[in-house]
Amino acid sequence: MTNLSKPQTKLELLALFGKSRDEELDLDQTELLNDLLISDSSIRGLYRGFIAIESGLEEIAKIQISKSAPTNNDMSIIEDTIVEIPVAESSDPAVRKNKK
Amino acid sequence: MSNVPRYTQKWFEQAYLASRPKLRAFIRSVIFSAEDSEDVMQEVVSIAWEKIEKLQSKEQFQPWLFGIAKNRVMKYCTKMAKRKSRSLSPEALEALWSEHAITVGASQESLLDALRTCLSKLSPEHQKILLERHQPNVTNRMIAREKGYSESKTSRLMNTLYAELMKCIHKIQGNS
Repeated sequence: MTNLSKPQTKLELLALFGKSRDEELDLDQTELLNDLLISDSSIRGLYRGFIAIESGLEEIAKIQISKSAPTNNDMSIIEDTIVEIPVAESSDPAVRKNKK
Repeated sequence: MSNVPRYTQKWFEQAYLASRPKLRAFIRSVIFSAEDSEDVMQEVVSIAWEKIEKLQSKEQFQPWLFGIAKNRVMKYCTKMAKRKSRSLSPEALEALWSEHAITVGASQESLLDALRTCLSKLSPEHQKILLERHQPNVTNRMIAREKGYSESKTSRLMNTLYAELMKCIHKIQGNS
């Protein structure tokens, strides 16, 4: 159990969550966050809300960036693995086209 | 017995893209490092495609994908815990997972719509700061430097804006 005191307000909790997202938590703070998430369902709820907003903002920011510049697509990994999959009998022309 | 695959690449891509925002949110909720989080995303999509024939039905795609993600994230957390690195513990992941699994069916689009609405209610300056902050690899520290604020002021501002957004989204979702 960590020696750090439990955050008392929502803003203090959000500050702790924010540090995790910026990879600025030290080991004691990481332990505190783990303890809080394990023991308190309302803190888990707040954490999920925080993550949902963070991810949503990242998504919106990404859309703004992609409007101005082309970006890499993580589906490219499939292009690398598709050749190992038995697709010869596929009725989908897009799949047949990818078979090498 | 037919050898024709039940799932085409095109179908897989569409199904994955529809699940991607929620999948990313789940993985990012457990893995603090943005870079590691993206690596795990890549692993998950690669494994899912390799094992796609094991998917029982198209309707099961999202829970199946999240099952793969949970396994990969659990491996990551276990590895990091052994190294005493900064990451959520496997126990914290289990606690979060049990509740995440319940909300997997909720629409990510409706959350994004609510978030856009709530964002538009903030001042243009605050909208700009929030969206700059959420570009890849941007931290509070960078925003503080750019705006000429102290780090603690920037952190307080961000947390206040998050709290406002949460309250607003909760209100919208509670009314829908």
